[in-house]
Amino acid sequence: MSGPLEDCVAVVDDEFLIATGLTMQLEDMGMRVCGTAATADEAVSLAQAARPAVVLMDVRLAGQKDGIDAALAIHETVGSKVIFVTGSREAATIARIEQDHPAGLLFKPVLAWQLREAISAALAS
Amino acid sequence: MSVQEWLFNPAGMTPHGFCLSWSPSLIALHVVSDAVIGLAYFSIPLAIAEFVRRRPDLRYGWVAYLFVAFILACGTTHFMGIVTLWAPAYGVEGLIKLLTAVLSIATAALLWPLIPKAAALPSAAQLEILNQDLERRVADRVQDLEELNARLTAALEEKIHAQQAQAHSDAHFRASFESAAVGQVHYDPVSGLILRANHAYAAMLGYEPEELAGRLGSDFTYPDDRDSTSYGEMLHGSGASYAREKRYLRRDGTPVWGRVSASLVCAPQTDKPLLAVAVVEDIDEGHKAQIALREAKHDLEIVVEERTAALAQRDLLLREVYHRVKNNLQIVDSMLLMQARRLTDPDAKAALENLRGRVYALGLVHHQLMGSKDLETFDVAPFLEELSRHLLEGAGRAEVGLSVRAAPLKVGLDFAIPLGLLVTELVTNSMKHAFGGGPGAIDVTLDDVEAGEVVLQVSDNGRGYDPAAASGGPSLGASIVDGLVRQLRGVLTVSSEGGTRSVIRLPAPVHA
Repeated sequence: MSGPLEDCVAVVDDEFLIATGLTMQLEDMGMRVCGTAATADEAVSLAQAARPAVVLMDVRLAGQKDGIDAALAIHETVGSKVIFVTGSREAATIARIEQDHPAGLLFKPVLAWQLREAISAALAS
Repeated sequence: MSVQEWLFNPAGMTPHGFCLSWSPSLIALHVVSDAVIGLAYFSIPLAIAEFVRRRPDLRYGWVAYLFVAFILACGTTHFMGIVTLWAPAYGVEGLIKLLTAVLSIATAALLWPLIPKAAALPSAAQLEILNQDLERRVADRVQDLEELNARLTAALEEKIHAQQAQAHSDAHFRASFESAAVGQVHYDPVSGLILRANHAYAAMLGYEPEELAGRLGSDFTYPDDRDSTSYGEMLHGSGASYAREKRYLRRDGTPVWGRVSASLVCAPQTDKPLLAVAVVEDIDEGHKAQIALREAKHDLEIVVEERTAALAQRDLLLREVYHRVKNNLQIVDSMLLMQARRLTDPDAKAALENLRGRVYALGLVHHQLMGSKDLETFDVAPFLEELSRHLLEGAGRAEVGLSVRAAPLKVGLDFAIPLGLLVTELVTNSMKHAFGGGPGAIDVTLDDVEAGEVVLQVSDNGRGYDPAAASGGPSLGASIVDGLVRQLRGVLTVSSEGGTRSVIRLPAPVHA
């Protein structure tokens, strides 16, 4: 964790259309999106490069690692607030998320107001 | 002078009466007195003689006879006194007196030495005491004998009784051994040979009892179950008895399950084993049933395991499906959003926003299902609360108050999706048309009334709006509401007094 974070949001989701939809909703709220990533490794690289204040993180990602692994790495190396966006609500997954310093937890389908509230809460904490 | 003269008239003497001058009174006095004395002297010895004759055991009886002779002689002298009053037979008289003198002196002489001997004889009183003593001793002895006799009789009876009882108990034992319903076998404890076996045991193995006697007991145990450990322990004193379940060998070579309880009979003093006694119960049917039950239970456990695994698999698949449905709805939502950003026509944009609201309702139903235990049903109340809150937030109408009150009701996918869409349409309509941009209140209630009916009410306090009366025919929202109410076999009534009130009566959802 070195230096201040940028006032922007990184979006991590292996579904292009979901990543794009979230990006548009964020832009409609007047926020800057600093990039999207589809795998855990890409997400960590993006976060380290762009240093976003907030990361929207999907749990299931393409590749070996999932969003929780990526979130842990980002939390340790960058310090961004991570809001999980998941289609799952299995107890095991939720328990893992809870251990990983989540700044928020949203269930798909996510709506604009939910996103707004979650980001406000994350930035305020 | 002749003897006769000397005897009867010696020397011509006068009779004695002459001396008395023949005085009649004197004569009479002498005659009567002598006669009475003579008679008495004859009577007394006769009485003595009679007495002695009757008591032949009398000691010194001869003295009595001396007395008899002596008194008789005395009596005779008195009679001779009478005779000599008239006849001068002084010779006879003198001879009789001489005889009397001899007899009396002899009696007198013999009597003195007899006194100490006679005095030594026990008196009658002494004899009485002796007699009483004797009688008492006799009585004691008789009593002793009677007691002894009674004891002997009792002992004899007891012995007879014991013999009878023994005979009885032997018979009982034989009968109980022979006819017992469970198998009974007696073995020689050392050789292990069968001494006797009853019918039940023989029948269990397919033999007659007499065929088994003399054969080795272990020959009738199924080869795999021949384990002599328990028997050996019992024989060598580490166990008084043992019981185990094992297979026996039938005549036809098939096994039969039995439960054997064996014990040793030992000699009381030496503790030397005399007899091994075994009671064998045929438990073949029970055992087979138990084995069958175990197998059935095992099979059942496998089935349960498979079912459990299948259920777990099904749950996993369902979660995966719900997850994918939600992901896909998110994609649809994203596409709608992307499309809406491209449109400039406000009506078209609003239509797409409405679509996004309906898509959200579908997603929310799947979200509730994923969180439910059985993955099939969930409580309708939290669902309606979250849905309504989203509609209000999504519309950005902070000035409109919304209250939701729902009775606890379990719903599944088939009921929840049309219900969620109905609430979405009705609440959206109220927000769009009731308040004209001003403040207001919307109430959503779901009541679980009796007779398997639920009532959904969406009401507002706005200016009233009848969807059917809208210009240009029924709107898409109104068509959706009508269609979904029909799908749920419900009835919709709308009133517009003091705001719009839509009441939908629906059959309660039925779960398998």
